Amino acid sequence: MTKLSSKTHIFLIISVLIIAIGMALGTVFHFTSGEFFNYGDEFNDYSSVTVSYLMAEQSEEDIDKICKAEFGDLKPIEISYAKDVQGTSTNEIIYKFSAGADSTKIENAVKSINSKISSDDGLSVAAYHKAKTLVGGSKVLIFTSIAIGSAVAFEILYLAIRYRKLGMVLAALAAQVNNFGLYAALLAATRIPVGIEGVAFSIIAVVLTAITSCVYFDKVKFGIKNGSYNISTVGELVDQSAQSTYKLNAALCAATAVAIIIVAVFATIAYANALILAVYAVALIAVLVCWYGFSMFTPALYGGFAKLDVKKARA
Amino acid sequence: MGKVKSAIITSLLVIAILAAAFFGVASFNVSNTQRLNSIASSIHLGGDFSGYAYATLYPEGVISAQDYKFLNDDEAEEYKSAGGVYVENSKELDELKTKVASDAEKINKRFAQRGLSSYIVSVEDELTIKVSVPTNYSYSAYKANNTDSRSTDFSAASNIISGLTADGKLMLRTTDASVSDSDGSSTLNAVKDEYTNTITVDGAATYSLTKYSEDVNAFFKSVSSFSIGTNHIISFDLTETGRERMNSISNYVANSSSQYMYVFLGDTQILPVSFTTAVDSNVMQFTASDKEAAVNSAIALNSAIHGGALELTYETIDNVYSSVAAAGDNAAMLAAIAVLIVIVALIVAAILKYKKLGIVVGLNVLVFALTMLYALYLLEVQVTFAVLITALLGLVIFAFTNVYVFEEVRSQCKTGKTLQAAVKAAYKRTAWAIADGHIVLFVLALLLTFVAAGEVAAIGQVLIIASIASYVLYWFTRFMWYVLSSQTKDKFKFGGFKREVYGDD
Repeated sequence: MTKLSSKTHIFLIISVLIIAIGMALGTVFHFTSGEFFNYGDEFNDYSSVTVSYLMAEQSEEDIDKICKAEFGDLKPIEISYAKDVQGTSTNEIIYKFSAGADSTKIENAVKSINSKISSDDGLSVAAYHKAKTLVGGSKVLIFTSIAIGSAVAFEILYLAIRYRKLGMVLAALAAQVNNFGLYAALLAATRIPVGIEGVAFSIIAVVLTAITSCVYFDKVKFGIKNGSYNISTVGELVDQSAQSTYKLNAALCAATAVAIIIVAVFATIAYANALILAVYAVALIAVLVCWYGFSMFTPALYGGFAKLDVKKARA
Repeated sequence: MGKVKSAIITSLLVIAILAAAFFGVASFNVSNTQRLNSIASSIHLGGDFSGYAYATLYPEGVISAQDYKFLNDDEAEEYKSAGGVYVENSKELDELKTKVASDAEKINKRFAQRGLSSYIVSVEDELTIKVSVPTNYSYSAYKANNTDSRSTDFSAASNIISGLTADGKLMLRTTDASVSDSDGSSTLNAVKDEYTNTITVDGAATYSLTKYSEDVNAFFKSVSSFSIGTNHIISFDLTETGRERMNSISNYVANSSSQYMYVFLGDTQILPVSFTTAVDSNVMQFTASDKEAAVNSAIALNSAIHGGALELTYETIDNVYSSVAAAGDNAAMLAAIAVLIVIVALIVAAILKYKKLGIVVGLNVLVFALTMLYALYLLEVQVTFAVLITALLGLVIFAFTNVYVFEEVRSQCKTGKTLQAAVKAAYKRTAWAIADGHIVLFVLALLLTFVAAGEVAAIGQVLIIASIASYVLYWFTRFMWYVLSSQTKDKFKFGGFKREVYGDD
């Protein structure tokens, strides 16, 4: 049996190190590239070629074919086919490029496209734009943080009333702080593009941490209540509880991960672009930190607090 | 339980599941002109699955490349190229760019207030502002199988764009230039100003109800909106000055022939207000035509009174475009297939692990999925990738609660208990842990729903449904276990359990 209870310091150091490295890297990127996280497309600046055309003049397929041929090795990060629903019968195709894409090449491509699709009496025209996107998630971020913070506070208060064990309460709080910190640090360090989903998926980390903590501490509580443990065997209690709940909690995280992967596979087929996998990678990171949390960090950390609870129970 | 009772309960449950599943997922043509759209195809979808509605705001003096092509040679000479757009020669570019950047920030703040699942505000060529919001189409609307819904949803998205990008300052206006005083002896006048002939109501000129030197913004502390049933209210919280002046203004309007005051933001009429008597209150509340109008108007007005009025005048939005789904044209259909695979995988895994007891879990997994499906439709939750993943997380948590208790039953069986005793002990043993998890989940969901906004609030709603459904169905599993296993001779075999220690029962 792995003796997690005696490795409190090791896992504490591992967690603090990962979080510190992630935060340090994020800070470096903040000062070098201006962004703590690698924000996703919805937050990023971009350049685009907007081709406006009349349905009566040209078909979407023809325009698309001409444009793609002219772009050559310039690969758009997104192509959007749009219709003017209320106004004229003008349609648009927008080819979005990253802000760093070669502007001279794009401008030359736009000239060539215009020479092919544009005539004096026609209305089809391609235009090259440079765009600065405003970060719109700040309100969502602030209020989600308040909601999650309040939820964690409620969880801790609830466990304090239910268990009446200081060690468990401290360990449950540490588990939430650790998992949330790791989630943010890994997103900053791995530079996976973070969109608004990054905020949303932090909820997965909080939910899974709360549930796995409840299962683990229920087992510990049952052990203490049974009275079969004393101060000298408290490590055994922590480790046996971790071992007996491991499969269950692992099944919860594994099933969540499998569900995410299945959706990710189908989303990649639909999008025909592996870039969308970034969204799901963020969700998988949330599951991964929870797995680390319940399987290693929480029992190891509780190993340091458990004596408080057992001592109180004996008293 | 008797054999007949057991069969009746099971049959009723299966029939209910089949009926709910039929209306939940089956769409078909009823006649040549009518179509029955399933619940699944009527759920509102986010931009990932149904695309965005977007428009570009052009400040006065800036035109698109396409509009430039319309110009004759003389007209074209009056414009210079700037990035992908054209600007009148007389415009000072740097000043224009500064004001566009400032307006974009203000518009961005307005959209942030709106609680959309997602939106994008970007400045193109430093001279135009492009705004995108999800179309909010359902799958049937997106695929044009429900044209009414498509039209309604698109109008709502367009109204959000036009409502939140309304430019200009806040003005209170009337079509009545003057009214007779109560004794008929003198005449009270509204103010004729620079907008009198340009800002009209049904073709009639309008006059300002405030003096030129007055700051209308100082009348109001804030503007908000709320709904009670089918009434959608815009509420103005007045300052002391505002209370006095609105008393005087409402008196004027009440005595006018039209009895209407019009609230304008620039040249956009936000709200017509009828006064039949003078109003003397700290709060004024007026009914808007619909919820969307109330919310959009309140945000734009609130922004304007707090220094968020746009500095430039923008051309009226004529072209609102609708793009294909951001995640691909078939993203919604493929996501539905992915969800179906997850459900089937859970059912198969349950049957493999727990034999006939797995069928009970399978039935309840279907009930959970259908509950989620109908709730998403009824609560009008906009489904995005994150919402979908959260719904699946809820399903996994429900399956987990069953596994948790079943494994406890298995370990109780190993102590030599009868199945009935093992089940009783296991449910008792795990009850609090499962309740703890669900209570924490439920409170988190409530907080997310009522504190957060947009997509995160939608996730909160999904978690509320998930936590309630999961906990109720957890107990329902025990009931159905009892119902379905009542006629089985070997109760242990029913659940794939083994009794390790045999004693005298």
